Amino acid sequence: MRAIFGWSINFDMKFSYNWLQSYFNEKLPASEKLAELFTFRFSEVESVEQIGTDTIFDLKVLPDRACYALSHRGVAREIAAFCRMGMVDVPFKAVTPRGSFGVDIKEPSMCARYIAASLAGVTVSDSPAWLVERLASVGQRSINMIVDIANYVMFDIGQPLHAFDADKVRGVLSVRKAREGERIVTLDGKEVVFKGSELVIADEEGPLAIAGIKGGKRAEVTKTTTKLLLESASFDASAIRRISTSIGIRTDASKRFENKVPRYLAEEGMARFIEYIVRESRGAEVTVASYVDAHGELDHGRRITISGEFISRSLGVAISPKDIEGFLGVLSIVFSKNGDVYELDIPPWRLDMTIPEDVVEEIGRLYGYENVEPKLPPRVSAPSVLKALYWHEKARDFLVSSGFSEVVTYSFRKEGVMEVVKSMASDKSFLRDDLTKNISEALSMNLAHAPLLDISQIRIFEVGKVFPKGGERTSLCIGIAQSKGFKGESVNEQIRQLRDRLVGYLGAPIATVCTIDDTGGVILLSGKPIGTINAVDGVMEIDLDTVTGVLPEPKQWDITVRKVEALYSPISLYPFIVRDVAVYVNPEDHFDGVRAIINRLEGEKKLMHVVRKPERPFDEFLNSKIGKKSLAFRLVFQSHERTLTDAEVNGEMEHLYAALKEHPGWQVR
Amino acid sequence: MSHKAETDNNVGHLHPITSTVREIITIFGDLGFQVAEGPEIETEFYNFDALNVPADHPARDMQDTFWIKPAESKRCLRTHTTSVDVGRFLEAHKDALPARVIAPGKVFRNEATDATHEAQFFQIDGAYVDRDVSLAQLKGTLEYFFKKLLGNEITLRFRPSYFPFVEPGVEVDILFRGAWLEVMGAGMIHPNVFKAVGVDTSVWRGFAFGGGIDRLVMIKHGIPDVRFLYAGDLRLVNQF
Repeated sequence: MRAIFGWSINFDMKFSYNWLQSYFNEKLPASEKLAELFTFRFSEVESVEQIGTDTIFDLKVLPDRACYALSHRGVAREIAAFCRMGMVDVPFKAVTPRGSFGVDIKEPSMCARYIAASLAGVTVSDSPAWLVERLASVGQRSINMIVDIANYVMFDIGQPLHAFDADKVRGVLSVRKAREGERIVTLDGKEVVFKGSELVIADEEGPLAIAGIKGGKRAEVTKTTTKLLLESASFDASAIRRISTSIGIRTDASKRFENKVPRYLAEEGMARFIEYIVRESRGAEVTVASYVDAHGELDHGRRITISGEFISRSLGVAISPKDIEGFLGVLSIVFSKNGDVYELDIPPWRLDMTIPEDVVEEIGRLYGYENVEPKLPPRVSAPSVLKALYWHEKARDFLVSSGFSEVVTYSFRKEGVMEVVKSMASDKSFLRDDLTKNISEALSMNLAHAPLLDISQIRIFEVGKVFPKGGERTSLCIGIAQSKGFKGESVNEQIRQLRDRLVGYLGAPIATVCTIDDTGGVILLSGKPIGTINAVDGVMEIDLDTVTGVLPEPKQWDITVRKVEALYSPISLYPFIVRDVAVYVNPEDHFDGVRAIINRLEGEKKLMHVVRKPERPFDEFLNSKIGKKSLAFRLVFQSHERTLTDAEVNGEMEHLYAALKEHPGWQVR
Repeated sequence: MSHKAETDNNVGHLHPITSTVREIITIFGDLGFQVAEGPEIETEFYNFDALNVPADHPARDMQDTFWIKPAESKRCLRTHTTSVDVGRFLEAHKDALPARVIAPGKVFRNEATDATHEAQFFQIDGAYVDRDVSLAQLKGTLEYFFKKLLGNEITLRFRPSYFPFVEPGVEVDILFRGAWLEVMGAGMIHPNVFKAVGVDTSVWRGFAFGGGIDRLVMIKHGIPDVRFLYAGDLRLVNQF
């Protein structure tokens, strides 16, 4: 079941143990230990799988940490922090701008940075074994060396990258909005027709790629490509999310952009992209013909001021300066200190850290929430009682003590007044505007099950919101149904009596102001209609908000709380079969004798499918003419596995008849 | 011949959700938490904006939230009762703090239903605001609650998590009948939430928590399918 407090929009990513190990000289903790550390220091672990000599962790990266942790290096930094291990991070070689290639960012609000580099002398070969293996470990198929390196760098450091065949690009590259009706065929052969608000990378001929989401077929890198145009860019998170949703394409790149990729990373991404291509193009003379870095404002360094006292007070546990400083150190947070106050320099990849509370979380999780001792808040006096709630509960108590059971039904239905914009199903487009309909349906459904429930009448109620024109109110609906042959008062009469008792129970003010017009089936309060009675036979519904409005303020919370410990017994989905039996017994005999026989036959497996054993006879009378007492009772048969046949039930009944007849003086009628 | 009148076997039963809500109210009442109620049709402000949910957060999509026609009215079926205790109650009591409040109630999510997912379900949400509030107190409060509700033998733990309206944010698990179960999300109330409802962040701190009541009812009574709770079926209700 999904988190209910809010929405954890987590991002699953596969992480390779061996790949993470490459960031450390020291041996990582064993995979089981590492999984446990992930769970309690970092993120939920969806699965841990041993594949060959590697272990693959499927982690649900939290959305706030996705800006840095959807990459092996990001998670390696986490491990470095919570294992206090030194990390090996080989620095990249920055590329100096050169050449005259033009990039025109027409939408700077959606694209803060675009680095383009063109490479000449390239041979597009298959990937080396190490690269194929690395990608395979995280579930990625090898395509060709260039595409594989782009993917590898993305899974390694988190920067999405793209490569075009430079010979297929015409003129200046621009980052612009798509024009309405423009089309692109994506790398996987899907045609997208643009609405006009999407962001594309285009040349003079038209779109080459859907920015940050998917490349196009036209400038695809193939085996014959010799010149590359590489892209490493920073696209706006909201824009990418909106466009990706609107065109229905989500990719590893778009997922990362949606979660903010730090702008500083584009430079490193490009440098490593080029570095790997040069290194792996063994023998070939690859040259960087041009390199352009078009950008507006880049990331600001962020500083947070926080006191040790604030950290300890927020967590409710005293954290020593030594511990705080240790945790800051392993998080690569550089700080200066003035008394108890720390001035923190937040590393550029931690876009999620903006306020002191974020620092509290970092210290808290590294300290370990399991080490935070629970404390109860100070005692205070009993809280005030909510009037409406109190009277709702009082009404429930009254109804339960009057033999009514509570149901909770669906708020959605086919017709109504208030409609939802997008419904689950065509018969659930509206919100209910009364409860009467739901109660009527529940009455007939339950009446059909009456023998199973061992009751002769269905009495139910619901308290819930209904949605009439313009708003909502709390409604109370009460219903009674009984089978046609029921000996007793009509359901309408019983409802009328119940109404009077309910009014009496709730208290004086209602009794004096409530008048009822039975002929019209309307309940009135001070002349104003507040409900209906027997408009549907045996059903009344009242506006509970109005009724509770005129009731007095409750003095204290004196609602019964019964601890219910019962465990659910399964309900069979198969039909049940009812058999009524009447037996003449001696006048002094009790029904217990019949029950004993039924129990014995069950023990002997001669009665196998009785789901409802009679507690008492439903009819009992003395036939003075023959000097015998008649007991009539009901058995209900049902299976949890299948539909029982009449023949099966008849067979079981024959055992019962035989056993009853064996009893001295008894005869089956 | 003298027939006895047809016997009336009817014994009334509260719905298990109501019984559980009553227990929850009583347990938190012992800790001084009062109950707040609010509308099921909620404004975008209380359901999302006030709770620091970003304007383009996926939860706001039609696929996840039932918006009410006309769409321009920006009203939806509340997706949590956090809108009640954290949103409406704190705003109404911003000048009458400290506060301890819970909001039990029906909530709605637009998603495919199955044995563990329903488009409507019940949630318990709570907030505690005072001058000095800590994560340790959040842990103490929830541990007290779950022990009272499910028995002293349960174990409670926190894991790091993320919800827009809290920082730090944690996932709350309990060990119950031999299995760890996710039962709540919780954390320290985010300063942006306090700002949105007008609570002075230089004075007040707070924690908040929330989880599904249906799930608690299901694990407590061993009910395998959430949909059984809303079928109006006495074969279920009369077992409790």
